[in-house]
Amino acid sequence: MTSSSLQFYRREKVSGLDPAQSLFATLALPRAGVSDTASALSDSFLEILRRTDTTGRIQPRSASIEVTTRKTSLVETLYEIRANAKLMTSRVAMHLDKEWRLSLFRNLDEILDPEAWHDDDPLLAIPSFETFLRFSLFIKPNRQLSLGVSNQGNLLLGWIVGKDRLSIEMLPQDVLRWVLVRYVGDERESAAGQVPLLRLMAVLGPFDPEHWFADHGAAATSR
Amino acid sequence: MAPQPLPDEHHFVRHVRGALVQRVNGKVVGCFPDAFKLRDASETRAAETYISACWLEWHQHDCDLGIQSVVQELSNGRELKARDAFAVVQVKKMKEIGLSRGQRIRVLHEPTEKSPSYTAVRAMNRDDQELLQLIAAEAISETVDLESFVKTTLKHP
Repeated sequence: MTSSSLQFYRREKVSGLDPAQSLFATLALPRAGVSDTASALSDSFLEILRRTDTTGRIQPRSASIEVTTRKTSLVETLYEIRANAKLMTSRVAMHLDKEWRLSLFRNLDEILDPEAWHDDDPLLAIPSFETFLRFSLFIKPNRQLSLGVSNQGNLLLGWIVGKDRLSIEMLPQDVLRWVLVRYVGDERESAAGQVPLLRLMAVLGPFDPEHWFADHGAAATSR
Repeated sequence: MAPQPLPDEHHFVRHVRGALVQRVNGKVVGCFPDAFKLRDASETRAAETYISACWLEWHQHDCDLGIQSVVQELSNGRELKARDAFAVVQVKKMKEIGLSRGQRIRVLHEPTEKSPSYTAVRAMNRDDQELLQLIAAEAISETVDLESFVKTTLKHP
């Protein structure tokens, strides 16, 4: 490890997160006039958020702390992104399956590995990761998935079950862009769309989203 | 020399950067649809109007030998990373999928001095997500993990 790297790790850590800002402050809610089912789901989800919102429990640091905008090396930048993502995840870890969380951390280490980074690769956008965390809490998928980063820097999720494929791009503000291919007998179905998170299951309903999200063979694990 | 279309029974090889390779438990299982997406304009380049690839059979008809040659050719012009992969795509299937989506995709050999097997895949609708997912699902005959391929090739030259 070089001396500059040592100095980096010894410096006071400045988080990119604002401890006074709720993780879920920007959650997009369905507009008035949605169905009773969507409203009930939204209420349940909001209740989970209220119980997990740690705004009051995180003591704000001194007022002098500011997120620096200095130019950092690639290694430092990827480290910051990885650390921020894991910190955000740890704040809601009690609601995530342990194996899911461990697998997520491994995936993050892989997709944000400086050794595997191309100069023109887009950096993972933290607002996209926020959407992903809310997706994880809301949908609770337990089937192994693949993680990637889109050309716009948004987190990509992918499931392949047999020949069937579902890919979802996590856009900021709880918007999801999805595309799937599903084979039913000899018939091939494909569809794509862009929806708010709270509408995802309803929109994917005709294609049986549990086919991708649920791994019925997975053993229950403790959190 | 005018660009020549690749024969339908042949393949092109698309370099997929690590962030767009789908892995489960470390094993390569495919590519994200974005691996075939035309990139929008950025500060350093214009919006793409075609995707780049290499003609596999221009090098060798044997897949492994062909990929070796493609890796060599690509490494002359760009840095390859261990987590990258190569998608071997069937020309005929690519064009069939395009037609099913109302697009006449053209797969053209457009050699350059540095890349003699250079291939351009043109006439793809840049906003068609289903096209990209269908390509990832049906047109790829093999996704080659670069790190594993290099280890295997070096072990059995």
